[in-house]
Parts: sequence; C-alpha cells; structure tokens
Amino acid sequence: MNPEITVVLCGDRAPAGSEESFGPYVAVIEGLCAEPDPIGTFETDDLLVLGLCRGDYSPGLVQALVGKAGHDGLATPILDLRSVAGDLARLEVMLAGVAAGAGVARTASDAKAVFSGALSRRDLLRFPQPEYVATPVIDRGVCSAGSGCQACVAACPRQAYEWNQGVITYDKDACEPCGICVTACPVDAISNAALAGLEAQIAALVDAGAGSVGIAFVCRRATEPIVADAWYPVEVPCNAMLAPHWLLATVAGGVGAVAAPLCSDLGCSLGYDAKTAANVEYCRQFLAAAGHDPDLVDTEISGGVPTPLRLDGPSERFTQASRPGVLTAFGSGERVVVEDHVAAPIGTIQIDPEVCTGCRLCAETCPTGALEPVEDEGTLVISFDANLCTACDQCTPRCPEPGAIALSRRTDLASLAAGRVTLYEEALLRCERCGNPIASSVMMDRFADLLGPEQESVMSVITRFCIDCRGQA
Amino acid sequence: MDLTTDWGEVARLRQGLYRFHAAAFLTPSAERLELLRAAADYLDTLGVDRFPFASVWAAFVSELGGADDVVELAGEHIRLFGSGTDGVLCPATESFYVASAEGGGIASFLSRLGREYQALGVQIDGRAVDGPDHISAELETMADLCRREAEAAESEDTAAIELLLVMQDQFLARHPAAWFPAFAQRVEGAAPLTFYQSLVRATGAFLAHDQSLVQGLGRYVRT
Repeated sequence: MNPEITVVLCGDRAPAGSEESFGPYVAVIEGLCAEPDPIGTFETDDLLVLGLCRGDYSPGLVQALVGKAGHDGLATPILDLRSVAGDLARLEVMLAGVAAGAGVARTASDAKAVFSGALSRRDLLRFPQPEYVATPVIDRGVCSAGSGCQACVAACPRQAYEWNQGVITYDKDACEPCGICVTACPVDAISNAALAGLEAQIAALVDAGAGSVGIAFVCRRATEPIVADAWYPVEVPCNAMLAPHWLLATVAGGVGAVAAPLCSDLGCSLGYDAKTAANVEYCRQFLAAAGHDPDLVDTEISGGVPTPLRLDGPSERFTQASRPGVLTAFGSGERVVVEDHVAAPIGTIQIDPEVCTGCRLCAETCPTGALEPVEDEGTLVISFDANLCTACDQCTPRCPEPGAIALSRRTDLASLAAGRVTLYEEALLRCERCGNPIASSVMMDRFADLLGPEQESVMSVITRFCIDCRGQA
Repeated sequence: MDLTTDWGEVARLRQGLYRFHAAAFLTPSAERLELLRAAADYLDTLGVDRFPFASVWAAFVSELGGADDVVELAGEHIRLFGSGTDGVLCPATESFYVASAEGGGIASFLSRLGREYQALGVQIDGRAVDGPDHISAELETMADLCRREAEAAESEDTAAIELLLVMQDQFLARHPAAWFPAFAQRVEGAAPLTFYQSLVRATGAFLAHDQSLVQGLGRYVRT
C-alpha cells in the first residue's frame, strides 16, 4: 500500500482483514455509509481514498465531510465496495486504480450542484446537501467554433451548447454531465475533470491485477456493481461517451477485454443505450475485420478475460489525435475494412470536381485540418488526410453546392496509409490587369447559371478582373 | 453533521459571503482589512468548507492574513480599479464590459439597472461605491436577496423562498455572473500583487458555485 494514501472503508462491506493486511494506512469504520461523520475527522496530508457502499450513502454529504477534513470533495475518489465483493486481493487492485487516477483538483467553475430526486417546497426549509459533479470546460484557444464547427452542439443530447456567430455558449444548468461532448469535439477543446486520471487508473489496474484484467466502464449513476472475477469497474460520466477508439485503445494497451454496459443494464436513467451499442458494435466489427476476437469489446461481461493483446499504439490513448494510431495498431492497411458505420471514428471525403466550385468553405470549416486548401501558382488544390479526419461531418453541411462533397464512414486503413491526397485541383482564372487568381472556372460557370444570360456584361467583368481591379475596369 | 442542511443557515452564509466579497473590492484600509479577517473567521465557522470553492476561499483568506502593507495595497487598488497613471486598468463596473454591446450606451444601461434595483426593492448608497454597477454594489444586492431569503426561511415562508431564488438566478445571470469572468481576466493579467489575483479567483469561484446552486434548486423545486 502506498504510504501516501489514507484509506477509509465502510466496515459493512470491507473485506475481513483489511486493516491487518494494509497496515496503518487503512481505517475500517462500521456503518460508515449510514453515519459518515467520521470522514470529516481525517485531516491528513495524504491522498484520502474512501471505500463506500454505493446507494447506501449521500454523495453530497460525503463530499461536504471530505471538505470539512480539508480535502477536495470533488477530487477524492470513492471506491464502490459492492464491487470488491469481500475480496482482499480485489480491494488492493481497485485501490491501486482509483489512487492512480485521483488527485486532480477541481474548482467550482467546472462543477455543478446536483440534487437527487425532486424537491418540494417543504424541502426548502431542510434539504439534502447537493452532490457536485464535474462539468465540461471549453478551451477557447483550441475551440474551432470561429471557423463554423458546431460538433458539440450536434452531439449534446441535452442541447446544452449553442453556436452563435462563431462562439459556443454552454448552459451548465441544462447539462447532465455525460461526457459525450468530450469525445465529439474534433480538436479536444472540451475536457471534463472526471476523466483526467482515466489513463493512469487503467494502467494501474493492469499493473496491479494478477494476470489478465478486464475493464468494465460504469457511470456515477449506475446502481449495479461489477463483481465478476478479474473484471474491475472504471467510472466515466456516461458509457455513451466512450468513442470506439477509446474502447479499442483500452484493449490495445494491456487490458484483456472491455465491457461498456448499456445504461439500462447499469440501472442508469439517462438511457443512451443506442449510442453505446453503436460504439461497441463498431468495435466488434473492426476487431473481426482485423482478425481479432470481437468479444474483446462487448456491452456485457462475458466470463473469463483473455490474454491481453499488448499492441504498439500511441502513448496517449484518449485523444482525437490517437485515432489513426489506435486503429493501425490492430492491423495493416489493406485488409482492414469496416463498411459504412454511424460510429466510425474516422472518415473519408469525396469531392465531385464537376460540381465543386472551389469555394473552400469545407476546408475553412474543417476543425482538424484534414481538408486543406492550397493555392499554388494559380492552381487551387484541396487535399485530404484521413489521419486527421474524425468524421465530425462539419464540412458537408457548409457546402453550398448539393452533391459536391460527401463523407463516407467506411473504415479502410489503407486510406490512413495513403496520407494526404488531392481531392480537387483546378486552375484559377487570372486577372487580366494584375495577374492575381480570381476563382475557378467551375465557380464562374455557377455564377453564370445563377445570374442568367441577362447579366452577361457582369460576367464579362468578374471573369476577367479580380475584386481589386474590377473598379478600375 | 446532520444529513440535511438548514436552508436559513445556508442563506445566511451566502449573505455573509456576498457581503465579504463586496467589501473586499472597496478601498483597503487597516480597519477594513481587520474587519475582513474577522468576517472570514466567522464565515469559516458557518461551514464554508462544505462547498467546492472552499480551497480558493482559503487561499484568499491566507492572503488576507498576510496583507500587512496597507499603503502598498491601497496603491495597488488605485492602480487597478481607480484612475491611476495607466488609466483605469481593470474597471470594476459592469457598464465597461456590457454597455458598448447594448443599445443606448452607458446612460441607458445605468437607467435600466436602476429600474431593476427598484423592482428588487434595493437602494444603492452612491457614497459607498463608484456607481450602481460597481461590483461591490451588485454583490451587496445579492447579499440583500440572501438576507430576505434567510428571513423567509426563518418564518417558513417557502413561497417567498422560491420567488427569491428566481430573483437571485435572474440577477446573477444578467449581472455579476455575466461580466465578472472578463473583469477577473483583466485583474489576473494586470495585478503584480497576489492579493487581488487571489480575490478575483475566490469571488469567481463563489459566483460560479452560487449560480449553479440557485439554478439547481430552481430546476428541482416543484410546487
């Protein structure tokens, strides 16, 4: 046991021998969940870790008592003793996990007060201490809303985000922190403090577990414990936020198997089953296509945990930039194909040069730079790099020409190997006066169609002179 | 600790915190600093540590305890919030941050704010603060609403509590919570002394929490 950790366990479910096995750093207190007041007395400089019986205590009251003891009520990890199932070895592994992932300080600015159930007017005289849960934080310096990206607006099931003139506004009151926005943001501009220690926690579980370790993701609203042998729970805001490359990265990085149970199976009221099921189904299809056992990722815990794959993948697993590295870790490019899937973590773009006018709106909106316009010696080139595409689909709605651009959610690892490819190349008409590029001939043809034959005189000017020289024409 | 919280006590604590933060933005003097230290000690006994802004609160209280050079602090106050040689670096008035974005300019904005205060039953003492839109005036307004809420709780008038929560939610959202982040960012960038940096962090965290608390209550209360 790490001597810098103080563990306080509820004696109702703490494994027999906990205090003897782990020495002076563990305190077992009978009935702690029902009477949590002693938590407020642990004024230690150590990291405080609690082991409580989920459902038997008030989270808000426990947070308040942790604060009374001088600790951060939002950052103090609480281990669900129901999932320990009275097993000392299991307790040690789970403690290693939560301790490794803890200690990320949060502030009132990235948390909200949540009251369980509905309050009546009478409750306004005496009501339960609210629980504080971590809420998303937007890094305005990274956010691409100024270029037109609205990925978070589209993804949020609670309409907590709005896009207005290039700025995203976030309504904390409407938010039911689920984390879906975190994995939906193509540029990792949204973070949630509840996820800060995730990689460290999973790594610690793998290191501490004897043999193959299975990870079962659960949410804070889950009422069902995880008690299967060799399977350990890891808490996230909601399982629906677990993007396919997060699940695959977990399997690639030394975890034997991953389960992302549905909201309905966890006893959670959010009900985002469809999204979780789609993410898991994609992973299963991808694993099968890559020649691996699809059961490595499932919505259910399926018995024993196989030997981990331990593939060479990116060092940071839970980022948007990790997508191509995670996928290619599973197989070579040519033979791994997953047909069009709504949950695909990467995409490919096609541009029809007969329709595209080279307006570049798609590339200007693309938050990751997967689509890139380059003007070189009078030629406009729009290129695409699948390694940067997150299939956010912010580009196609911006295109003013129906059918000019299409996003395919077909996964083909060969596209990653191809790197940046040219999708559109068109020579630009040049100004007769200064020689600067004006626009593509396709765009001019489009203008001619829109303006009609009666505007031929206008067309004769704009096709020959740039915007700076037109006034002198 | 009781499983539930007496709402009147929470309202009194919030009233005290609003008054504390309002006073902390006024011109420092030896007497005022001493009063703030005593107030901080008292508020700590009311249970600030149960709230997630407790750590930044404690950091400011620590700064307050070590603020011995009143002359230096007063000079910093003038430099940041008054008309120092660099002009007003960090105006502590809402009109600076919002009036240009609204029609009618500052006069129109102040007129609307005055009517809002009237509707809330609040009267601002012009001698005490630099205008009705000064941060101290707006924080004192919230303190007054919390006071009335505490009195309603003490007389078990739940309808009044609910109404006051709505008034607080609206005033917070329209006024201090709306412009304080921009003000705090200016102070963080301009203040070489940690006293006012620490103050704006503590006030910002308290405002963020209070807005979340009031909104949360409003969402969950049913008649």
